[in-house]
Amino acid sequence: MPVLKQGDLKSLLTLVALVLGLFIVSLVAISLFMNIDLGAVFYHVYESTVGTEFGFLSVLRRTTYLLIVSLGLAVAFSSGVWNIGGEGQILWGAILAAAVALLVALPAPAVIPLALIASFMAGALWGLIAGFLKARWNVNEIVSTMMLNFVATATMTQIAGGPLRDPVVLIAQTKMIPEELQFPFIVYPLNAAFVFALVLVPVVYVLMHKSVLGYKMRIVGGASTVAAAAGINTRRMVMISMFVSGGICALAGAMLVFGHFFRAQAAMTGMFGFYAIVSTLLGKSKPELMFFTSLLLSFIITGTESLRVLGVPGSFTQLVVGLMFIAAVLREFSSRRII
Amino acid sequence: MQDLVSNVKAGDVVVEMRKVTKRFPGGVIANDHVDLEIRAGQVHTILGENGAGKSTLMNILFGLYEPDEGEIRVEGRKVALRSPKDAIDLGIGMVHQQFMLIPTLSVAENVALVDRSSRGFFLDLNRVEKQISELSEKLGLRVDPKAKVSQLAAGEKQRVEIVKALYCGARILILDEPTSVLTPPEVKDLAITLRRLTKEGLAVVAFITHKLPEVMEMSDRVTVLRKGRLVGTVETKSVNQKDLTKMMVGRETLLQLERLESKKGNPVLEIKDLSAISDKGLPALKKVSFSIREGEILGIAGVAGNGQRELEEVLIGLRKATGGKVLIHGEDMTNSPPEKVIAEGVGYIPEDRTKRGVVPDASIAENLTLKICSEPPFAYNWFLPFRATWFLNEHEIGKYVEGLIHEYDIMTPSKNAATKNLSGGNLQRLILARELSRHPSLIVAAQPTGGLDIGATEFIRNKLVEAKAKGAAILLISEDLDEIMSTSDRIAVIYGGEIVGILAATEAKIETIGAMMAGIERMQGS
Repeated sequence: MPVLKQGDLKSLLTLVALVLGLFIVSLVAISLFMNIDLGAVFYHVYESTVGTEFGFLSVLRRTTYLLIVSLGLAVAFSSGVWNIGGEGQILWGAILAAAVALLVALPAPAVIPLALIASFMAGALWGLIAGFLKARWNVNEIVSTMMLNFVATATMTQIAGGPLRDPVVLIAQTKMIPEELQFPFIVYPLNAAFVFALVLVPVVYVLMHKSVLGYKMRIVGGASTVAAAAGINTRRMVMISMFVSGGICALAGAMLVFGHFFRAQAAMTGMFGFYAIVSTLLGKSKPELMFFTSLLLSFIITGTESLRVLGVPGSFTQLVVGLMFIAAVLREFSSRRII
Repeated sequence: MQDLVSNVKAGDVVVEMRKVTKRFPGGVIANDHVDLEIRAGQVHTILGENGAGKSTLMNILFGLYEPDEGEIRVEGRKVALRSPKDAIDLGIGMVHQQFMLIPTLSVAENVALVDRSSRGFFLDLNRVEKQISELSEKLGLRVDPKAKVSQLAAGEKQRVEIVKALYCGARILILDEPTSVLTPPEVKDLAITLRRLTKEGLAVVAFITHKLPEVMEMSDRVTVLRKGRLVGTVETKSVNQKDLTKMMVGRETLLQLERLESKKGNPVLEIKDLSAISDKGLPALKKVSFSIREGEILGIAGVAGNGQRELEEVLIGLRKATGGKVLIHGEDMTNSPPEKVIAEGVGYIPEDRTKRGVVPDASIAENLTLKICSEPPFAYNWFLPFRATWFLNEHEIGKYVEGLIHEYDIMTPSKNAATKNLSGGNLQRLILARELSRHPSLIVAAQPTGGLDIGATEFIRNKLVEAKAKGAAILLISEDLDEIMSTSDRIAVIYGGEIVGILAATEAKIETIGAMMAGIERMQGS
C-alpha cells in the first residue's frame, strides 16, 4: 500500500478531530434530547466499537463494505461524475453473485471468481446506463443514478422473490448459498471479505494513479474542456468511469452475499451506497486515505447503532452521518478551505 | 424615481476623472493617468482596442474597481466610489454587455427588483408598470412592461436595461459595447433613443471597440485610449474615420523581432469556404478560405468577436463546421474530433489558457503529460508480461518533464507543484512546451501573448518564429496588431466572420489593416 504523504497525514488528522468532535457533540445532544444518561451513551458506544474485541472486529467488518463502495465511488468522483447509485449497484452485484453461487454447479475455486466477474459486470452495466445517458444526452447523473437505485430495489424484490426464492420464509430472499462457498472467518465476526477489500485498495490506486486510463479519467474530472482540447474523448471517459465505478460497488454486494448474509435479499445494502459517499468525500477520493475514512465512519455507524438498546431510534445513525456529509461537502467545495 | 431634468445645463461637465491610474497584480497597468470629462446632454464614446483600458476606466466610474491614483468629481464634488451602490446613489447607471435580466420574469418585475420603493412586503406591480409606461412614453423607449423578458429581442432587452437604470435615477448612463448584440435596424433605434436621452439632459457614455461608422453617427465627442493611456479626446465633427483609426492603432515602432526567413514548402492547412455558427446560433464564420504552407506564419488580424474564436475551435475539432472543408496535409479533416486532429500533427495554443490549456488542480508534470500519455516510452507495460501501453512510465515522464521545465524556463519550485499557482507567463510557457515539444507541423496559436509581460511575450514570439524556421505552418490569431505585423509572413484580416483581405506582411500598412479591421475597407476580390 502506498505510504501516506505528509500533507495527507496532516489533513487526515484534522479530519479525525473534526469528525470525532461532531460525533461527540451529537452524542451529548441525543442524551439531552432523549433524557438518557450521558455516561450510558458513551459506555455503549465504547463497548460496541473499541472497548471489546468483538466490537472492534465488527467495526472492521463494516469497514469492508464501506471501503469497497468508497473505492468504487472514488473512480467516478475523480472523473467528475457523481455516482449516487451505489445502492442499486450493490444490489445487482448481490443478485448475480447469489445466482451464480446457486445455479453453477462447480467447485468453489471456480464458482467464486465466476460470481465476482458476474457481479462486477452487472454493477458495471447498471452504472453504464447512467454513464451513457450523461455522455449521450448530458442527463444529470446524480438524478439518474439515484432513480436507478429504486429500479434496482424493485427488480431485486422480483428476482429474490421469484425463481431463486427461499421457500421456507415469507419475505423475498434467495435460498442460502452452499456452505463451501461461504467465506471463512478470520476471527469471528471478521471474514475473508475484509482481505478482499484491502487488496482492492492498491488495485484502485494503481488504476487511478499509475495507469494511462486513470490519468485520463482524472484529467476529465479536473477540467473536461481541457481534456477535450487535448484529444481525450471525454464522453468515453465518462462512460468508462461509470462502468468501473458501478462494477467495484457491485463487488461489495458480492462480498455481502459470500461473507455476511449468504444470500441476496432486498434489505441488505445497509445504506453503504449512501454512507460511502461520505467516506469518499472525506478521503478526497484517494484510495489510501479512504481506508481510514471508511474505518472512521464505520466506527461512528457501529457506535450509534449500539444505542438502539437505550431506545435511540435507528435514524440517529443517518442523522450523524448526514452531519459528516455536510462537513465533507464543506471541505470539498469551500474555496477558502475553512476545514 | 428622481426627476430626469436636473439643474445641470447641456454641455456642463458632470463627471471629471483626473489622472486615474489602475494597476493589476502582475504589473499590468490598465489605466495610466487617464483624464476624462463627460458633459451633460452629450453622447461620449470611448474608443480603443481590447485591453486598451476602456472597461477598467468605466468600472472605476461605476464603483466596481477602486483607482490606485487620481480623483473623480461628479457635478463638481470629489467622490469616492467604493461600490456600484455609491455610483447609483450619485446618479450613475450602467448597462452591461451581458444583460442582467431574469428571463422568466416580466419587464415590470425585473424593474421592481432594483426599485427601492418596492422593498416593502407587498409588490405593487401596477404602480411599477404605470411608471414604466410613463417613462417609455416620455423618452420614446418602447417597452411593454407586461412582456416576459425571455420573449424580447436583444434591442428590447437593452431598452429594459436603460429603463432600469433611469428608474434608479441615473443621470449619467454608461453603456458597455451597446451595439455588439444588436442588428443594424436596432442600432438605428438605439441612436434615436440616445438622442432623446441627451435632450433630456442626460450624459451618455458608450464604449466601443470597433464599428467606427456607428461611433461617427452616434457620438458628440470621442475619447481614444491605447494600451491604458489616453491618446486624446476630440469632437466627432472635427475628425473622420481614418483619423480615429490612426489614433486607435498608433504608429509607434514595433517590438523588433528577428524575422527568420524560411523556405516555404507545400501547403499544410487549406481551408475552403468554411462556415460555422456561434454559441448564440448566429453565423460566426462565413465562407472563410485561406491556406498556409510549411515555414509560413499567417496572421489573423481582427477585433475580438469577429469569428476568431470559432475559427480556432473549428480547426481543432471543438466546434462543428456548418459548411466548407478543412484539409490538413491534403487530408479532409472537416469535423474530425480533436484526437484525430492532434494525431495529424497539430499543436494548439488556446486563447483561454485556464479553461482550455491546463487543468489548474493538476500538477505541472501532469499538465505536460497531457498529449504524450498514451505514447511509448511514456506509456509502458510495467509488470505485465506482454506488450501493452496501459501504465504511465513515471521515470521517462519525469525526465521528459524536467527537460521541458528547463528548456522553456518555467519558474516552479517542483514539477509536482499545482499548476494553478503559476503566473500567466509561466502558464503559457508550459502550454508552449507541451505543444512545441511534439514538433507539430501545424500550430494554431490564439492570442499567444495576451496579457503577458514583455519578457514572456518576447520568449513566446521567438519560439513561434523558431518553429516556423524549422518548417512548421503557423496560424497566428491575435488582436495585437504589432504582434501580427512583426511575426507574420502574410496577414489576413477578419471582420464579421469574413476574411476581408489577405496581404503580404512586407506590403501591409498598419493603416490599411486598421481600416479593414474596423470594417471600413476591404480588399478587392475578397
